Amino acid sequence: MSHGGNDAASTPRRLVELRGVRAGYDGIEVLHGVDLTVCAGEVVAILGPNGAGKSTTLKVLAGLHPASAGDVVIAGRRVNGATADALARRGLCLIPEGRGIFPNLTVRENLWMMTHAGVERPQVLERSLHCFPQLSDLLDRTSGTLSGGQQQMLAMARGLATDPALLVLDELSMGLAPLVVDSLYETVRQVADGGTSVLLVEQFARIVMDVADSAVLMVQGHVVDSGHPREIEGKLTQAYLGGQENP
Amino acid sequence: MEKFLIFTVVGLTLSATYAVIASGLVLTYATTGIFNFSQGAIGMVAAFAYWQLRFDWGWPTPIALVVSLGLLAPAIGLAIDRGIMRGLRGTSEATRLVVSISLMVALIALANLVWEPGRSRPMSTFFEGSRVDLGITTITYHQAITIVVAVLIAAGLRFLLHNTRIGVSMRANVDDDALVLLNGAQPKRIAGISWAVGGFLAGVGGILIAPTLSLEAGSLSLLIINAYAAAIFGRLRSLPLTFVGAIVIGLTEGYLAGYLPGDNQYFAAFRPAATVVILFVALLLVPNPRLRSRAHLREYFPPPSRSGMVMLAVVVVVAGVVLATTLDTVSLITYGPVFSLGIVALSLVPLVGFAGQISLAQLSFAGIGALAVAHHGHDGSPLGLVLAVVLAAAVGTVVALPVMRLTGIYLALATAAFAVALDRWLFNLPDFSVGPVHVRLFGLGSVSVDPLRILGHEFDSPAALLMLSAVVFAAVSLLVAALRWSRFGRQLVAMRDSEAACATFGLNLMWPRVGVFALSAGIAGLGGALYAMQLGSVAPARFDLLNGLPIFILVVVGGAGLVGSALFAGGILYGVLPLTATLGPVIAKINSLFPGFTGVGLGRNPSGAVPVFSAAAGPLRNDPVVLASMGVAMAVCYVLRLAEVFGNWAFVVLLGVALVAAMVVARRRSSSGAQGPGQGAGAGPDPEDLEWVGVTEPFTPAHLARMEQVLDLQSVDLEGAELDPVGGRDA
Repeated sequence: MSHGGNDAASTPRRLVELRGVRAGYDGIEVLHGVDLTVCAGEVVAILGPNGAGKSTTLKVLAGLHPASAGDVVIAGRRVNGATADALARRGLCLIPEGRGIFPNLTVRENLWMMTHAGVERPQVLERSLHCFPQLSDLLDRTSGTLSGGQQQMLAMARGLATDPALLVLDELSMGLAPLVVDSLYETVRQVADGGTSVLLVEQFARIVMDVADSAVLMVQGHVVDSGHPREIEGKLTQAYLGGQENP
Repeated sequence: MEKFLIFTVVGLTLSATYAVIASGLVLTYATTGIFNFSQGAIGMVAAFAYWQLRFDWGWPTPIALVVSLGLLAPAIGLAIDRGIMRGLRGTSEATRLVVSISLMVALIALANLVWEPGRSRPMSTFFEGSRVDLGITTITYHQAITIVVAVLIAAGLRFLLHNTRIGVSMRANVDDDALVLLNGAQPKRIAGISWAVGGFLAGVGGILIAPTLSLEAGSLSLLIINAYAAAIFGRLRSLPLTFVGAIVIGLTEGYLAGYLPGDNQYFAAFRPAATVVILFVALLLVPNPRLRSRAHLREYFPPPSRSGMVMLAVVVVVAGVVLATTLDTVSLITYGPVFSLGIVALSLVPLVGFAGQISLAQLSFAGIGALAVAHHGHDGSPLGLVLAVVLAAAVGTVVALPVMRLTGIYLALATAAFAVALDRWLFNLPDFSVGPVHVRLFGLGSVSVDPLRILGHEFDSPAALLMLSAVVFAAVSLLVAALRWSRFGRQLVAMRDSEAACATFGLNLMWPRVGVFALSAGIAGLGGALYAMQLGSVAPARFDLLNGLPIFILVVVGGAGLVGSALFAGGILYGVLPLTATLGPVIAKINSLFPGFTGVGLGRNPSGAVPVFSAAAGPLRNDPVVLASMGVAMAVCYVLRLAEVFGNWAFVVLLGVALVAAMVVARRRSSSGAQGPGQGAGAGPDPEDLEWVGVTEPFTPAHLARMEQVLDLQSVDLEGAELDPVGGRDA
């Protein structure tokens, strides 16, 4: 995967494409043919109510869950069946739901784990502490003892330190105070401004309206709409309250 | 003073060995989350291999060390990871523990197969005879090497786990292996390295300690108990505290060897048991674990059905009668334990299956039952049996009270420690008095047991005792099933599912745990008493930890939450295996591997083997015509056998043929019946798919007809109810 940038102003290069992706658990299909595109340098938000299949879509993209049908294409290459670690080393960074940290390791050791993606240790430290200077006093603290906001910063540090081509965020705001959430999304905006494509899932849709360039709305395993976040916003209430028709 | 120094060195050498083995244990637990009971057994295999290469084949020491330590021990660790442990994802702690215990049993059996037990295998120490003069005392080269190796390993592990990326990744792996993947690392490779290093450390410990002990598979493998005690000091996670624990245990053993009066019968046996006493005390100091909340487990045990239980009880009693009337005296003694030790297996069902607790001491409780009936069942007094239950339950309560707050591994270790303390010490003591209570044990040998006498009828023959055991087994099966149906049973299952949820409902967690432990010990005591009656004279070796492990393994393999698993365990261990062993020595040897290897395979089907058999017999159970025909055919065979038209082998084969034929016929009738024209809607969606009708597709009258067919509701009178094709049934 090559790193995205703002050089594709005329015809945006497609970094990620999901084409008719189907997936499920224990024989029960939860994604019924999802189509999704993320262009280089773009921030795309997947919105939708509980059970819409948002997190499963991210897991399929990141290689954590297999697609039963359809194509997962990243930077023009079909990557169905690629393992999550291989994708991570090629520039895909998924920060999972909850706190994406190792609670029994120190902050320093958590940062060290990020070097598996192919970035040198000093660079990981420098980039992480530059964006989150609060972590510099906590380097030798066991990360499970940090506050929720500090833990999410540590998790987000991977998105910064490893300089991914695609940053994938699953429910970044979960369990955090509004001010912390604002601060984290400010960081997401900075990452995107640096040329990294971002795909994010957020149940609280209004949080991402100012961050995302475009949004897709998922309901019951289908993408039912896509467009500018403001256009989608008007349809959210209907989708969240269960009135959205399947395509 | 010199004596003190000498035994300090002895103690420190032992400490060093325990530290090495325990550090391997802690390493695999802290990096993979699996407590490896077979750590000592891996060390044992490495020690045997080293003996084979160095002393039997005369290879040079460095090459023998490289092959046994550098290749074999890590390869065993890797093979365990690749072949076994990877299949254990999503299984309960009990299942994982059973697999590693089974692995220990399998490795012991394998070693006994390769290196025939009982043969002398002298193994000299490193640089035998050479000593280092420390000024105040001298130590042997072997002792010095052992201590230096332990120090180097301590430093090396510390460096590995905290100062290398692979070491940090190992620790990260146990936190969240999916996140390790997302970081770009490979959890499977990391776990493989952990197991290989764990295997290497086990090998080092085994080779260092083997020359100072006899090269015997069982006792070398059980060295792990000493290492556990050290690991418990470090709460299974801290390597420095594990080393402290190893020093405490090693020095205690060293000083006991030096200063314990050897001529005192009460103390002589204490030394080997001292470690388990320390382990028991260390477990008491483990802080209260957090309450477990719901975990998604692959095991599922449905409650027993009433008809199924009645059928099981009838089958057991009939089998008892058939065995008692067809077997000769020698065979009756051989196969006698099917039901008596089957009751010991049954004692595990409420404890392990319903409550999710682990006890490795059930055969020890059986030993207490045997003692009770030996000393209080004179002239066949039923009081002996009653006291067997009461005393075993009482001892169970005493053991349970301090350790019941612990769960999982800690509880398993506490019960193993109790079992070993009985094996090595208490069962080998002469009689003694505590105040007014006079305690009589095995009298340093064996004790005789009188057969039961009830209302003038004496169960004085092996046949009568086997029938008695079968009837008691059937009765206890019904009792255990009734327990599962009761409020108490539901409480136990709820606790197994989520202690935290139970606590929020206001349930007291302590007393149900103690209660089920005591009940389970009581049942085991009853089984032990019947077993003792069958033997006529019992010695403590019958009830030791290693003899009890196959029962535990087979119950879990059968499906610990199912009453039928006890019959499965008793039938396999004391019926099928001895029967097939008569076919030849090769099969007897293969049989010795059976319990261990079946337990190792548990990860593939954690709900056990009994549901598989039960599903296979499902059509037969539901087909009264075929069932009755099979019963008649078997009864005819039985009559012909009694008339001595043929012998026992032919009888067994004919019964097998009748069973298989009936199953095949019932299956055919079932499948042809389901598709026949008289069966309503005929072929339709599978029952599992039917559950989704209404969710995945609109509900139609055809679905209703198919559902009635699957649920066999055609015969139910709906009392004129109107059927609404979409909305269901309105009264």
